[in-house]
Formats: sequence, C-alpha cells, structure tokens
Amino acid sequence: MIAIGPSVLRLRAPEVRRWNSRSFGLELSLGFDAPGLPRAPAAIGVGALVDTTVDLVYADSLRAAWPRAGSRRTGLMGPAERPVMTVDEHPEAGYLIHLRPYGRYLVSSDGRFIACAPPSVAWWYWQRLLIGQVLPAAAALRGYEVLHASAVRIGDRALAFAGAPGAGKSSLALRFLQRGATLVAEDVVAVGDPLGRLTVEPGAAMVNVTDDEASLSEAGDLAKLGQVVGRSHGKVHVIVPREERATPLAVMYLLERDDGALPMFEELSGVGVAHVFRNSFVSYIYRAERMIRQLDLASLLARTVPVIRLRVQPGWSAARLAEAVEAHAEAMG
Amino acid sequence: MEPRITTAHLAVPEHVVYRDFASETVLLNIKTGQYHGLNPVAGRMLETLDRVSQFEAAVALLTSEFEESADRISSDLAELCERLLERGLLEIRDPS
Repeated sequence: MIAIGPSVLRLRAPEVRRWNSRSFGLELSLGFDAPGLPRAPAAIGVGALVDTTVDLVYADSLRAAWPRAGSRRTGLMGPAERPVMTVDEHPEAGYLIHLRPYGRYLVSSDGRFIACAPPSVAWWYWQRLLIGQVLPAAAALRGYEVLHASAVRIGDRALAFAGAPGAGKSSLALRFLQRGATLVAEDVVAVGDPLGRLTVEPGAAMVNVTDDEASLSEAGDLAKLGQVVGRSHGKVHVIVPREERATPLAVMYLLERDDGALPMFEELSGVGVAHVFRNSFVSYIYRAERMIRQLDLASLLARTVPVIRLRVQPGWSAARLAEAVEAHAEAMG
Repeated sequence: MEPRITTAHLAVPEHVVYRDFASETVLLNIKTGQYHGLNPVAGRMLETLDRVSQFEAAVALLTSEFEESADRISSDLAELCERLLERGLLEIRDPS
C-alpha cells in the first residue's frame, strides 16, 4: 500500500499554529496561513471536526515520495510537448498536480491529505492554485461535485453563475457583492445534497477581478468590498467576507455572450446532463463513484433547480446585468 | 421480435446506473464512461422492466399505465430491449 502522508514527507514549519477553515465542504486544518479561506470560529472540540489536513512540504521530498511506477497522466493543460499543468494519478498514492509557476501538490487518494510544495512566492499567488484546483480535487474525491461557477447568497438562498471562461461569472458576482449580497464561492463551487436538497458549499473568499473591471469601479470600491492582496495576470485579488454555511441553491444562471437578438432570460425546459456537465470541474478525477455522484447531483439539479440561460446583452455593464438578474431572481420567488 | 427477450429475465447490469432528469432518463455505463439518453416513455419502460424483470409482466403494467394496446407496448418494449442489449445497457439473466 503506497500512501503518502505527513510521516513520509518533510514538512516545512511543522510547529506553526494550524489554520482551520470550512471550505469546499471540507473541514480543513492547514499548516500555514490561508487568508483566502476564512478561519473557522474557535470552538471547544473543533479539532475533532477536522477531516482534511493540508501541509507545506519540501518539493524534493514530494518528488522523491511520488511512485512513478503505476502512475499515469490523467490531466494536461497546454501543449503536450510543454504542458502548463499536468495531473498524474496513482491508484494508492492519489493525484500529483503540477502547474509550473505555482508548484507541486499532492492530493491523497481519499482526499483527506494534501501536501503543498509551492515555490518561494507570495502566499496569494500560489494559493490561487490551492483554492482553484487542489481543494476542488479533494472535494470531488469526498463526494461533492465541483462546477466552474460563482455563487452569492441573497437572503437564505444562493444564486449560481456558470459559464465559459470570460462569460462574466466573476464580474457578475462582484457586482452582487456591491449590491449587498454575500459571497458563497468564486470561480469554483462545490455542490452537495445533504437531506436531498442541492446546496452550495462555501468556497474561496478571494475574488479575482479583471483590471478592466477594477478600473470601472469607483476609486475605493474594491477597498470597500474587502482587502486587495495582490495583482497578477491582469487580475486584482481581493479577500472579501464570505458566507460560512452551506446554502440551498435557488437558481442556476448559465451565462452566454449574445448579440441581443434573443430574450435575455430563458428558463431551460429540458435540463439535461450536458447543461450541467459542461461546467464540471477537475475532469481528471475519473472514478466510477464520482461519475455516479455526478449523475445523482445533475439529476437533482435538473429536477429541482431552475436553470436559466442568461444571454449577456452587448454593451451591458456588469452592474446593469446584476440589477436585472437580481430582479429576475426575485420575480422567480 | 427476438423470442428470448419475451421469456427471459431482463435486468440492468451492475455497471450501468440510470437517473431521472426533467426531460429524459440518463444511463451511464461505468465500464465505458458513456452516457445514453432515453425519452420519458422509454425511461418509464426501462424503470418498469428493471423493477419486475420479466418482459410480459412489464408489458401488463405499461399497457395499463399508458392506456395502449398490449401489442403496441410489446412491440415498442421489445425494440427498446434489443437496442439496450446491443449497447450493453441491459442483460439477460438466468432466472435461477
């Protein structure tokens, strides 16, 4: 049995105070500060709730511990001859995720241990991969479905915004925050069904706003939302307050850029597998139990949650769009 | 119509799961990773057949449910079974 855990790897700073957080449906205990994952309130016996350990390790120990024999490549982004990101899977050891500027990350086969070997860069830089890929992978291994979407809470329910990259999911979520909504998750949403109802789990509290969107905001707008922690790749990274509880999903909006010829809001009458799966995330985790779980959650979504095709009209600002979407969601009840 | 179908015990194999969606029934073949869709009527036929296992018993239930002739239901169900058998989404089992 090949299991890579803290006893095998060389931990960096093993004595630091743990950072506990409930994010992506996981009760996390991290061996480093992670401001993008809100800290769980201290409580007697909170240690007993931890189900996922995340530690910083030395890269050489991770490379040495990963079993090459029996491992296979299950994910690749970028050109094959020089990939930007690779994912290797070993049936016992788990998943090794490598994205060149962000380092190497191991997710154990059961999703309960994560080893991070980032380069020496600012925390907000490498933790973008942690919250954008690694934790979602662990959530998928633990029975949640992860979607490429953002979600906000209004009242006691969540609205989710899914769509292709560049469709405007994050900009729309940002405008909702400016209108008083609370962030549930940004860019990656973990969905579960406790008690047979589809819910969205709190995710990352770091919103990534494009420079263009940031420049459109009035001076001080971003500072009012939260704390600007860094800038990279044309985006501004802002830590904002985040919802702490899993929230029932009320409506899912599928964003599409449009030329304005068709109605803006269209409730899909026959929501099928394709509508849900095209927004699915961490496709490199390909296990029978995950496929069945995906089907279960997609079926529940199709039967219980309105799915609205949202055609983003040309020339509409994200602020105007948020106003229209909020009115639409209210009218749906 | 294939005679073996009408007299056999038919069942959805363990490596196939199916779930109800708003407008279709989706089957997943875990071995191949392929998804298949059935319209609501075919989905209901599959669910009934999987529940009772025997072709004629399913015909009786579906005839009552859809208020159609037994011959019509029998023909449609047999065709569905053939297609599902071809795709490995249904199997004939030894009743013992």
